[in-house]
Amino acid sequence: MHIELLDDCGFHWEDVEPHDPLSTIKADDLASWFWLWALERRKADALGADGLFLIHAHGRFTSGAHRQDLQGIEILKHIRLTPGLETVNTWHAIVYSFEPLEQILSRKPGSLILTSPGVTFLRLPAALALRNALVHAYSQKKWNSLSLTEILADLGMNNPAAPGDRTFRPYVASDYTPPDSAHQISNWWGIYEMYLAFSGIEFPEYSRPESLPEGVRNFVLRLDSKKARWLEASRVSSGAAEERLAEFTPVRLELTRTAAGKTIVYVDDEADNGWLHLLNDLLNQNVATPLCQTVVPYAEQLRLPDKTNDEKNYKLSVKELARWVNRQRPALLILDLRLLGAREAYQDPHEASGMDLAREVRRRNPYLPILLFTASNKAETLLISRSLDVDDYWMKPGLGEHRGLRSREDDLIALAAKLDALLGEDYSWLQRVAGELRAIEKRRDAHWWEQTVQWPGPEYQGASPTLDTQHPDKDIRKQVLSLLHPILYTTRIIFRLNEMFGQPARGAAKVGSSRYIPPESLVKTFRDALFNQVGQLIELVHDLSRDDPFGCRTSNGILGGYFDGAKASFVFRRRDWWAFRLFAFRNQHTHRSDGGSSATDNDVKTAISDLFAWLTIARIQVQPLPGDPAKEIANAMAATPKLIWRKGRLPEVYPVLRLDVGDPTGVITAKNSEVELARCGNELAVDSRFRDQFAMRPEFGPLVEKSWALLRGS
Amino acid sequence: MKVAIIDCREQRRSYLKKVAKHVTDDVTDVAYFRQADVRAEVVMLHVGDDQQAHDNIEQVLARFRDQSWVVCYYGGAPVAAAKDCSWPNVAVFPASVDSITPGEDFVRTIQEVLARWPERASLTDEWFRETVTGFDSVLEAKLDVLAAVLKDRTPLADRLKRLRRLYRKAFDNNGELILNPNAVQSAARIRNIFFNEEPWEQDE
Repeated sequence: MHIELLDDCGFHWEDVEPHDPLSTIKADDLASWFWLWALERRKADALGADGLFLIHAHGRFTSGAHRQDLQGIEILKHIRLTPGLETVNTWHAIVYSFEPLEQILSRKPGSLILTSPGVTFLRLPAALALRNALVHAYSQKKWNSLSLTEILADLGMNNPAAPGDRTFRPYVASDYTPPDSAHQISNWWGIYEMYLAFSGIEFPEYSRPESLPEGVRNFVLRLDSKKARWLEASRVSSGAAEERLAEFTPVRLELTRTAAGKTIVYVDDEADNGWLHLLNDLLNQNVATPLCQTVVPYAEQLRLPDKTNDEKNYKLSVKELARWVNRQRPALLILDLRLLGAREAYQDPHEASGMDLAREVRRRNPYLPILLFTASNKAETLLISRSLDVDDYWMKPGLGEHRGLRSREDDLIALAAKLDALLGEDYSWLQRVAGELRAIEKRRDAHWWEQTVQWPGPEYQGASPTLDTQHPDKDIRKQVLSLLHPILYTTRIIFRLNEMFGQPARGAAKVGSSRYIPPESLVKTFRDALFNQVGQLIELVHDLSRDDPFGCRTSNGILGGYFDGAKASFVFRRRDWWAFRLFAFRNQHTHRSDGGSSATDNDVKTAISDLFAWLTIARIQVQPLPGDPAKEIANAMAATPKLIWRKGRLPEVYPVLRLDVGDPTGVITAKNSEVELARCGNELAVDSRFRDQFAMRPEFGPLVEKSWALLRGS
Repeated sequence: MKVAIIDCREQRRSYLKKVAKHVTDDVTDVAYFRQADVRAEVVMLHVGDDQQAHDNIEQVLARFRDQSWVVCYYGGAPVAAAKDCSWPNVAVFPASVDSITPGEDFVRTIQEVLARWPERASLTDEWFRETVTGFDSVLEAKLDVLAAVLKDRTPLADRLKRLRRLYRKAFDNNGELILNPNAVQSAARIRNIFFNEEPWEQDE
């Protein structure tokens, strides 16, 4: 057996004949020293043999070293993690030191290798007599009379047939655990690991990192040494690469479909380090012809002034950046927490520049989905992620405490699932509806519910038709908006609940979803709240028609309309057709006799789509009715087909109706009894659910039938 | 790599220049910063009162702290501008450095800093300060004395001087290290005192 003594002091070990003196090896840095040592030993043909290391932890091997640098332990790390040394990687090592092990570990936690299998730690000077030292080391096992031969046999050194405990486990702790303020290495390593996971590479070749993006490649080339190998040994992988890829592939395919045609804004001072490259690879099946554009701000835009010293200019720069973000009309904003890098490393996460930007973007664009994309793993960051400032949170994996609990493959699948959810139908729909909300806010002329209008009144108890006059309050728009915002907010909370607990994103049955499934009643509570908010808004608008003898209230689901005596049937007024539909939804989901609820998220979206359609109808032909009421009512009826929707709006808010209702559904524009344009809408909505119930007046009958036929045909 | 030494003490400056010359030929040494337009990647800067009398240390640090590593050292006490500087590229060697021969610990630290400058991109931001300011001269003295005792060699005088005040039990009345005929037994006794007992007084 070969015994290799790595000690500059030349201690005289009992029973040990040192190999060639190490003083012949001269080098300025430890890596060079190590390779020169390996070269000499290879020449001496000593590496292939069975062997034992005796290493002085405080040995001083290079000219610039102090004893407290623990170069002996650094050499052991080299030995364990350098391939190509034949069996030397697994030789048993006895490491000795003047300091107790606890003291070494408290000063340098990275020296944890001393506790790994295959290493015996001894404290000097008792260790100088090997026999005594090992007896001391094994005293807890009460092996007080072991001879050196027996001890070495116990270590498996001299009996090939019984190798003993030579289990070699890669050393996993390293000194490269940078704090937040200096996480460049951590960041590089994180993106590198993500790329390995993305490519399904289990055992990378450091010498051939051509497939990596430039920033990452440069980093890996710089680490083409023991550091890379330490780090590589510490990789957390959750199984064979092929199996992990089999899970990842369908998730990514789904994501590329979802992301196609969309624009994503990515704001991160470290985007160029490889994360942008990874996102583009993730979002596009063919990066050469990307269907999803990821836009990043110019470097100048990210050079924000110091928040503490120059707060005024900082705020102006953040505002400008937020304006730029919104101008891109993104489907998703991916946002780093600390855009000022090390300058704000110790800033409270709530006050970090990324959060300032998120809040500024939300002022104009409150329903834009935001994914917080940060290396921070602090509890405060997690709390932020649970707030409504952002929609989701993904921790960039790194080193040390930033390593994360799961494997990089799991992280990759989780990221793809999160992107898929935030770019998916729910959030896209929310943004479209938010666009409608902005249109209501910005519209200069009055909506129909802001105008004074006389409606045809009901024929009640044989009396002649009367007028029903709508008298809007002055601040009706403000009142309506004060209800619309909570409605969208509640919807957003429902979507977040789905992400957090109930409905894992498509393709990610397990990853990212909690094992805790909240009771159905929790989600139902939110849905009920939402339907009630919708109902409140309808009641608010209907309260404008105080002259209506039917009261326009919700009793019996009668929302205004009149009884046509000639036809002996109830006739809904035009605006009430929509209200009826909405109330029907609400009653269906919140007033069931069995207390249950059959509402789905699609019902929620349908109700809100209907609500916005109802509110944004343009009644350009409706005027107050002077003169003889009966005659005017007739005139108003004749004018009815001219009521049109703002062209192009309705399809944007109606994906659910179009997707989920089996029979054709839509709204038509009609003029002079002729169908003019399908799917642009007017108040004559038809779908299979209401066609039979809607007692259409005779003069509309042919028009409806024609429309129905057209929709069915389309 | 460009190295600059700014030190009003000529003998120490010359000594450090020789150390730096082993690594690079591009070494500038000046007594005062204001004497020349110094450009360097690694700067060795004397931050004692004598230097402050001619140079504004704060301005010198501001000049180099962004792009260079600045190793500050002193013979008596560091001026406040250096002592309070928290910039990651500025580090103050924690023990006093002799004005004629800087001492082995400081020289080794300089050698290590010069050796690692080329690979600074792969080091953490804290590495420089941890290496220079974080150097523990007492621990180093203890380890070196123990190594010397085990080898039956005489420990270096400046190491013993530092420990004599802290661990009086290890020394006799004449200030000599108490040794046994057996080196291992000597080392065992001294080690127990150095690592298991509280220091007699706080190190400066």
